[in-house]
Amino acid sequence: MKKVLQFKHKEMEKIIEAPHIEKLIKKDHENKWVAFSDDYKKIVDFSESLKELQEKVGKSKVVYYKVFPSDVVLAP
Amino acid sequence: MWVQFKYEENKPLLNVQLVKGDETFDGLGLVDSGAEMTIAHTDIAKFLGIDELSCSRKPVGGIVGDNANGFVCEVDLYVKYLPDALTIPVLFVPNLRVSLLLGHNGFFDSYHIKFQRDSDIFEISRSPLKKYGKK
Repeated sequence: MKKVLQFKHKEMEKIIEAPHIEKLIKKDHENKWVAFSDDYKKIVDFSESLKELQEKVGKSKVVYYKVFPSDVVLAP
Repeated sequence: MWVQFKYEENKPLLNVQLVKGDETFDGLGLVDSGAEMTIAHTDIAKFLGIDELSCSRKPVGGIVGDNANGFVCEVDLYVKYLPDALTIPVLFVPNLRVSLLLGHNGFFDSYHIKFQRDSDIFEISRSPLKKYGKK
C-alpha cells in the first residue's frame, strides 16, 4: 500500500490554489450574481440578474458566481 | 495525471467555461457528488443564447423545497487545469440558489474525483474510459 501511495504522489504535477473569493464576499453580495476579476483580486460588480451584470461589466474578462448566503448550510 | 485543487473554505470549486456556439460563460462550479447530473441556473442558459423551447423538459427536486421544472441542453464544458473539453447534458433550473453544480451524468462520468477534506484538497484526473468527449 505504501509503495502505491508513493507512486501516486510522484505522478502529481500541480496543486491549484483556491481562488479565495470568500474574503471578497460581503453581506450585500448574498443571493446575487457577482463578477470577479479573472485574477480573483476584486469584485468588478454584482447584480440581481446575470444579464444585468453582463451589461454592467461589458467586455471585461470576469468570472461569474452566484453567492449563497454565508449563514445558511448549503444542501445541494 | 492527478491535479490537486485546494478547497475554497469548505467548497470544492472549479473554474469552468460553458460554451454554446459562439457564446462562452466563465464561472465557478461546485463539484457535487450528490447531484445526478450537472445543474445550472437558467440565467446561464440565457447568457449562452439557448432557446428553452428547443430543449427537453425535466423536473428536478432537492432534499429541501419544492420540485421545479428545468430543461436539458448539451453544452461544451472546459475545466481550467484539466485536459479535454466535454460535451455534456446540463439541466438548467430556474431560481437555483447557486450558479452551477457539477454532477454525475457527464462530469463524474469523465473524471476520477477524490475528496480529501481532511487535507483541504480534492484531486481530479481524466477517466481513461472517455465516455464523454467534445462533439
